[in-house]
Amino acid sequence: MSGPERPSVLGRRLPKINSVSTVTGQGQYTVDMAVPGMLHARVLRSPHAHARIVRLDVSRARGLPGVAAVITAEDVRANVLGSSVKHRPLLASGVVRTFGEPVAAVAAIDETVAAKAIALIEVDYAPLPAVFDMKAATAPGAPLLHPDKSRYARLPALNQWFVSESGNVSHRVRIARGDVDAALARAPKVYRASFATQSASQVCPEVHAALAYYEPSGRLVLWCSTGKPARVHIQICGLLGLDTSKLRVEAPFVGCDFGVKGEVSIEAIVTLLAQKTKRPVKGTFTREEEFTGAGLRIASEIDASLGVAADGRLLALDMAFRNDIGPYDGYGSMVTVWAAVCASGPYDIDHVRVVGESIHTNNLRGASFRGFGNPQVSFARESLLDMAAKDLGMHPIELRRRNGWRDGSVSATGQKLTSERYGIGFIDTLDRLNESFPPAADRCTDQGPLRRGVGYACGVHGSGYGCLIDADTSGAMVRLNPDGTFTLFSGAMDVGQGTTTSIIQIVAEAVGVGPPQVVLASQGTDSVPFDGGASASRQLYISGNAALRAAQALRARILDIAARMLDLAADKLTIREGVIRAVDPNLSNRTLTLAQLAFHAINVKGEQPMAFGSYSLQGALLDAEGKGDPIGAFLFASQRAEVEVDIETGVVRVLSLAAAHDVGRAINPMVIEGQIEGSLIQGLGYALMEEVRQQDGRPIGPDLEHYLVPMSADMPELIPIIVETNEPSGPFGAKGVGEAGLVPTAAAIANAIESATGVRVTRLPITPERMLEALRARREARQSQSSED
Amino acid sequence: MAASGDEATSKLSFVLNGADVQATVVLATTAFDLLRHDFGLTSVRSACDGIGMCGACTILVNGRASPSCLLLAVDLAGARVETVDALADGDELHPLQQAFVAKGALQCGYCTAGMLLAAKALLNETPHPTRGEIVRALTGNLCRCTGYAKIIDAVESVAAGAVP
Repeated sequence: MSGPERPSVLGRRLPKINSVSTVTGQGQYTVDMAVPGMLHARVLRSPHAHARIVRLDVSRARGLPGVAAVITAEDVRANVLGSSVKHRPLLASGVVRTFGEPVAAVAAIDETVAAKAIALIEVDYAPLPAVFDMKAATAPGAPLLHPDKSRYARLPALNQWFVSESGNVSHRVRIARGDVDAALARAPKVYRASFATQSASQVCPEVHAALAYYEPSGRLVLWCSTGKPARVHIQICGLLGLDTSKLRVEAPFVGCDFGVKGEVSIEAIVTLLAQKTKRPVKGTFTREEEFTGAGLRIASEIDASLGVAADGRLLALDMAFRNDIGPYDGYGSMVTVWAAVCASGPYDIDHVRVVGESIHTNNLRGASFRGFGNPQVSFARESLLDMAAKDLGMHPIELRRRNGWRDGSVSATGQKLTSERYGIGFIDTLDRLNESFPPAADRCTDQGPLRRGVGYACGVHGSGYGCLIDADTSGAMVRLNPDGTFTLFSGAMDVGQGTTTSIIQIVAEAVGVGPPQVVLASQGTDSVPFDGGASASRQLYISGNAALRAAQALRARILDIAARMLDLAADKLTIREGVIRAVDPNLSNRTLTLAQLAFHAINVKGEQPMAFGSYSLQGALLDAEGKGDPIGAFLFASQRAEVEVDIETGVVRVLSLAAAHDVGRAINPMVIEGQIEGSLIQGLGYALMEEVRQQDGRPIGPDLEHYLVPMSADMPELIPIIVETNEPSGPFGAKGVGEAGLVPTAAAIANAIESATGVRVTRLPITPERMLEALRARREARQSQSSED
Repeated sequence: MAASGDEATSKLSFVLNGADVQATVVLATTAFDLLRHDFGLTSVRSACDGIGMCGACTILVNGRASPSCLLLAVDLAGARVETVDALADGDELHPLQQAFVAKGALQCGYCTAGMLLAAKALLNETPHPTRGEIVRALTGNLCRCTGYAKIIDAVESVAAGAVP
């Protein structure tokens, strides 16, 4: 679309919009907001992991001066939530199934009174038998979390995988291709191992926060910290029995989402309290509630076998994994499906069997966190590939290249990758990584107790929800303003990642102006078309396509109007830098500015230069056999880690992380680098530090003193490598990146540790204690071996 | 929190972002609460509930970076206190702010104010720090988005005198 005569606005490293209000401290997050007369909400949470509520008496709390309302389950019209299965109550009804489950909530004049009121609520619990690991949860006679599970509504995409027999397994996902048992039996080499990954907290710097009030018209307004205002809107209206027209959800600055701010809790509680009190109510989570009241990254146990030919061809992959989704199936089974889809990676493997189970326990609730189940299964698969490479004496990149997806490859679900339909840049990511780091650079060195090593891992993810929902859709509108600027109405949210800036670049490119001439309208649910929001690396791809379609339609309309004004055919005109001119240079005097055109269109012709566009990813649901096209646009990542392990202390230091990502067309390289770098650091935290440890379902140290996340001193050298390809269905060839970022990172680090020490650690995070334990185990194994010899 | 009832209170005056200010506080009030709630400076934020683990509430006290959640309000008496609100000179952004914008050193922005102030404190003391010194100076400030690299780059570019 861009002419050769002017620099494209695509591919430019533009600062994110709102950067100036961020660095001047003026951006307003929900936690910063206050309105006159505002009440403060607090939540009473369960001290038991599993108990019946025998008695709940809120009368003393209600009687406390300064308390405006106390709510319990009885106040919630349709008290069920859940993306996969609708069975999580907003406030516990008769039974609590996890530590920290909300039981009641209060609104009071200040936080001190609210806290006092919480202490005055009387609850008698009768503890029930509980299960805290997946083995116990699936053992015969295990206590059941949901004895009558078939009566709940569930996501249509999950129906075929519902486990109807009694038990704690919510869904069992099965994806199969070929004959795995026969292929493994024939395979010259089979590598087997069991892996375990931990639950982890998103640690959004801004906690969950919400502020609800009535506006003079009698409608409710909700400000809340989420990247998915439209989804929050629908959930709350369903829960409270509100017509969707009676509530609008606004979109303030958001201090991160990472997948955790999509399923409502405090957002609905403050809305209900505002309804009850007819006053503004604000509620914010404490940092502890971020651990107990939101959803964590799901802990997985994975058993896998990989059959490989002597020449390195992958023959068969057999993987069974169990996901601890905690007491309620919110994002849980969606995560399990997605993990199953991604489990066999970007490789041609003729025989695949992946079985994934979502299992209820009384641990803290598992949910969505960047990567959506994929880092777990990729850790297992990429560790096995590394075992194979070492054993066969092949470079890890070469092994992956030999098996990697190319034009014509077919995935385990039967999805055919053709270059007409998809961008398939996986091999390019391997090549680019190889160019930057020739294999000769991968020397392992020993210096005293310090062992250095290099490891590789890869992964595939998707842009959009794909097989998880019927339709993943966004709408957008673009309007030409009287001054010749444009306003973009889009519900795509910037929760840090910078997508809105990239979408503005797309619109600017399409209509022929500079990015500063495109302004993003306020993004509340009243103001913008429906948008699925910030998740699943979907916005640049889906919302970007919607905005592009709107911009293209408006451009055509503008040229139509201009054609009549200039007495030239519309196809002889173009728009460049805000000026409409003839393509023919001999007619250079025939020009109009966009401002002139807008004035004429609106004031003379009475036309409204505005256009709508939408985009939907649909038809991706898998069939009963697990077959179909679950991924709308493939995101490929190949990463390399260089580590130094101190074998005396067990401390692992990551020296560098390089990441080559196929992003389609790079709309804003600076934004893309930011996504890659940020996810590498999160992947490092996941690999080495982060774990929500629990004792009988209670978090140990649910605070930022005990839950360690990477700080700048933990930062290795980060080397993002943007691999540009073309995504045929993407806006100007673009697709997402953020979700894929940390998919292979933990595996790359674990593989580097193996290179450095010869020890393969199969349990995350690889803390110094675990590292020492693994080193000790190997030493003992060697000693006993040598004593036997 | 503001003084009320019969709790012991203290009066203090200090210079806040260049202006002389006074406050009466109960003794247990933190500098964080005073600045964020009483003075309404919402750029002073928290991510760790006031245990000094995130750096989001960093302020400058006589030019040195401090987590305001670990200071009492009375510790500010007589001090020169700066928040990010006064870092720019009118519409002219401070070089650190310019560099953060130009280098993409911010994503969700929640930690940005604290980062800028920690960086400014470093440059006050050490105008030409090494990259390692920058990393160490910022390691009390949690950022969950950026991976820190672009933040370090931005500070480094200012220290090197590069025009962003």
